[in-house]
Amino acid sequence: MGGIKEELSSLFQSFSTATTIALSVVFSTFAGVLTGYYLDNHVFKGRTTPWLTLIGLLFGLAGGVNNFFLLTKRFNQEKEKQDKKKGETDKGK
Amino acid sequence: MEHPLLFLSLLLEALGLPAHGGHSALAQALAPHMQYSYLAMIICLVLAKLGTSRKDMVPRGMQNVMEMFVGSLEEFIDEQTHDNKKTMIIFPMIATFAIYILVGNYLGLIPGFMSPTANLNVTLGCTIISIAAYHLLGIRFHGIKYIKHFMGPIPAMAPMMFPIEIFSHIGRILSLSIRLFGNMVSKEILLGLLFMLAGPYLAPLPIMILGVLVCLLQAFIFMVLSIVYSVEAMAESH
Repeated sequence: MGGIKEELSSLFQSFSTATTIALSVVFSTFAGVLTGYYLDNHVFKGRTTPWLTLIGLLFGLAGGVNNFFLLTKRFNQEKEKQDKKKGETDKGK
Repeated sequence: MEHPLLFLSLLLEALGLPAHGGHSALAQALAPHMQYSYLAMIICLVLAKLGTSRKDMVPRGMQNVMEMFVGSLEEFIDEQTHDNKKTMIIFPMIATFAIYILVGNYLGLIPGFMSPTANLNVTLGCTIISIAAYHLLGIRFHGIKYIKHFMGPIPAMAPMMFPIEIFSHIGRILSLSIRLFGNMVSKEILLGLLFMLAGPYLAPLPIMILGVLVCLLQAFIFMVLSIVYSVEAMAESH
């Protein structure tokens, strides 16, 4: 029953999972650092120089971890559901 | 760097229109990525028209293809939302993104055409629509309580969780748009380089095969992420 189609779709799923999780972590860190840097150098004109960037980095990292947990939870649920469904059809055979 | 050879740009230039970008409003509305974006829209419209012009009980030809696409997409979203009413709310947006981005990606594989998605403005536009739509959906489903999604599980931690959530949402915007843009533009640059360095005949073929896969994959990922974020916004807060 549709072996190659299932294989391909599971390959796609894992590809998308991996790239998505990695990129969302990286980019939220980036967003945090850039916001902090902008606040430091353009809003407060360098009076607070390293601190807001560092705080932004921490918040951005935490946001990345947050994204990480959300997406892993989501994709794990799907995976478990698929495995369960697969097990049932295997039993049916 | 030279201009790539683009058929629509040449056509518009022959008509005396500014087709290679510029600063006037007309030139910006007719920049190459806009031209191919219009082309992708027209292709989507024609596909939809062909699929629905003659509705037989036993589908044939284009109607068959479109019905399969729409049916399997609806099933796919249903698996994530577990609620057909919610599926029907987000279905038009997701299906539009899927068809438009798929067509846009594959346009780039035809010689003389470019992908509209190989331009950050187009992908950022799509992403902003998707992100705004899921926030609006969250507000529609939860009202003012939607802000609880940003507050984390413990009320005392709310001031700390709020900026974290903001940054994670900005990260989603960036990752969604830049991934699609980056994959498409890297494929085009790689193809261009191979054409120039290794000769025009068989050398770029492996990259084109990879490109066929990457196009499908990126359209699929964009769709899945839009679904996941919408579902997350519509679900109950933690």
